[in-house]
Amino acid sequence: MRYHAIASGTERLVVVNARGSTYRIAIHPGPLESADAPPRVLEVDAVHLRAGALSLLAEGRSARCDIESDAEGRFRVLLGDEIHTFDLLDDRKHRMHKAGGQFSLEGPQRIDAPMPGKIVRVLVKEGDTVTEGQGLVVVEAMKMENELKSPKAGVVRELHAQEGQPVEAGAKLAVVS
Amino acid sequence: MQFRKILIANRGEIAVRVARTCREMGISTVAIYSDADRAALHVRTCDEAVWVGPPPSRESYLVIENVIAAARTSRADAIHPGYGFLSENPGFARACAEAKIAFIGPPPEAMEEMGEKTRARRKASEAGVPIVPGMKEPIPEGQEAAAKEYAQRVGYPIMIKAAAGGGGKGMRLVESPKDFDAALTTAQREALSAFGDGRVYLEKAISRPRHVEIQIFADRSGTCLWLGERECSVQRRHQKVIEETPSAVVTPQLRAQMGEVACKAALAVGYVGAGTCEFLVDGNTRSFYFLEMNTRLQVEHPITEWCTGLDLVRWQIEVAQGARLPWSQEDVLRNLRGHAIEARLYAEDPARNFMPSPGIIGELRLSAGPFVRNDCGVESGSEVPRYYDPMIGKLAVWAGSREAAIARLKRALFETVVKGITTNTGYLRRILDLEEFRRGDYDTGLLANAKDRLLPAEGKEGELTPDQELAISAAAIFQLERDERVALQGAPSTNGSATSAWATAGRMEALRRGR
Repeated sequence: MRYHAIASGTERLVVVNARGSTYRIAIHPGPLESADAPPRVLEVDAVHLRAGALSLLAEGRSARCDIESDAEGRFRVLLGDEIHTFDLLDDRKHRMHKAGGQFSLEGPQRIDAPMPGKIVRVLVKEGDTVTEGQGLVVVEAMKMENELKSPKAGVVRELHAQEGQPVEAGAKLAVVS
Repeated sequence: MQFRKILIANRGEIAVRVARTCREMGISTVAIYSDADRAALHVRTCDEAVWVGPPPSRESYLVIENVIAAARTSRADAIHPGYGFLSENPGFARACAEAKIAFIGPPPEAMEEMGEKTRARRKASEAGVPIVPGMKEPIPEGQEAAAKEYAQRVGYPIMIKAAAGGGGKGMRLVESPKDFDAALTTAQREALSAFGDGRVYLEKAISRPRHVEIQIFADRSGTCLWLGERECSVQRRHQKVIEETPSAVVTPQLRAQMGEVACKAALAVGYVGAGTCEFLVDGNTRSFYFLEMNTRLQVEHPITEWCTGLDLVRWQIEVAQGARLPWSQEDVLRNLRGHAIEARLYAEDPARNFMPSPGIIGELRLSAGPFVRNDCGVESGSEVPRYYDPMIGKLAVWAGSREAAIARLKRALFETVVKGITTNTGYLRRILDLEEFRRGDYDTGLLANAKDRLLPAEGKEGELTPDQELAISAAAIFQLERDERVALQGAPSTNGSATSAWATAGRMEALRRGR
């Protein structure tokens, strides 16, 4: 199976093949197979312990590993005591990812509530010109106030936040373009 | 008198912690809970549980009548308030007395003297204890402009603090006059929301300050002991993150001096029970200034328990039952040993500006092994509600030396796994690796100054570390297995695979069984 790993802005082709409980993983240095740049090949013995937990034996090392992933292919892998965050996409998701261009800040940017909470202050009005990093809305959750900042310089096109209003995670609060 | 049943007027880890001691003492326990906490661990830990209101704490855990009513219905003969919520509210202590229920804490008069910070500072100052220059009264309503002038006179940087507060809520450092108005408004609102009292006061901020506090314990006969110090300078936005005892700046003489001053302050207000005097110690001169007294059990009490061998909650209960303290000051000095460190586990995301991360904990694996203690208010499957403090638990370790204690805490953090929500475990480990922390040479500015060094290590572009390679391999194995399971169930496969379905099924079986 072929996957595409995107970590720290670099895309790599990952090819994984299984033999019994041993896996051969080839991590190519770039997005494609290339004769000039051979892949890094790992032989990994993996045992699934329970949902999202693996025991790995690889290159003389025993590691436990806890994995969380979402529908977009975003992975959080706890290895030892460090969490590694990256995307691992199959061909279909990879095509959508490339078409989506989600790393660009061109065009309208939507500001969503990152967590459930309550809006305690609205710092801008619709039509206001804002700079990158300027505070837009303050959301209170768990007794702490968190200021949501504009991801880019632009104009506040939409504002869906009212002071005192409870919000759910992911609710659209503002659009800056 | 002997208590038969104690109502624990709190939630989370501290409710669980108090219930543990009660069970050891053969005292039955009553939990209280809001609608958000019906399934919480503390409810199951206690023998009984009474509902006290809707999720917001101002409508449940902070409603005195509801808590007293819960104690009456359950016929509890005492109330342990924990920390936070009503623990430092003299009105609550009085309501307990009126209802003929013992309040496990100091008399309301002592709480009044010490509870409001400005009054406590005045009292300490009268007793000859050095204090930081600042206001002697909270800012009266409508006097914000006068307060700003006062700040100008004392000189920036200035600290705004909640009169009724603690735990960093309603507290703001102001560097210059232009930030004053905004900081004041925020501090007042936070104070109102956290304590139901929006009054704040001003204090001069000290450079290179270390936050060192003394645990004291007093009984009704007028005996007061000090139980050593706790160094709490590892703070983020005035919220403690890591605490240790002993402190690297405190010499035996300084300890005795601070301990005596703390006991004097406590006795001056007729204090009874567990209390903590907070001091600012100047990191260069080692002069110390009284900050405030917390008239309750502290979050970080486990490190004192580690180094003294005491159960402070048991002492609280025994003193409330009228017993005398079983130790003398010499006993304390004889028993103090080793080094203890505590790390607070917060449901927050350090990579996203410490955004709170409420949600369901998919899996929780706590550390164990020699000299490791977990005080946790949640377990696998628990929900961390968005209404309350993001602290889900505390991890405290003991060792013979500071160096060994740091290594042990790192090891215990390595064993700690929290899935489903984001926590600060990686951040905690990076703090322990900081050069300043290792040397013991730090002040309350540590975390702010080391901010950039506390972020997760970013992989270099174009190159993967061996750990990253293994992590990507693990994810690929995980995803392969999932995709094949989907393929087996007849869903359309998007990626071509030459493997036969039977071979796949056999391998997955092997994976599940672990061969």
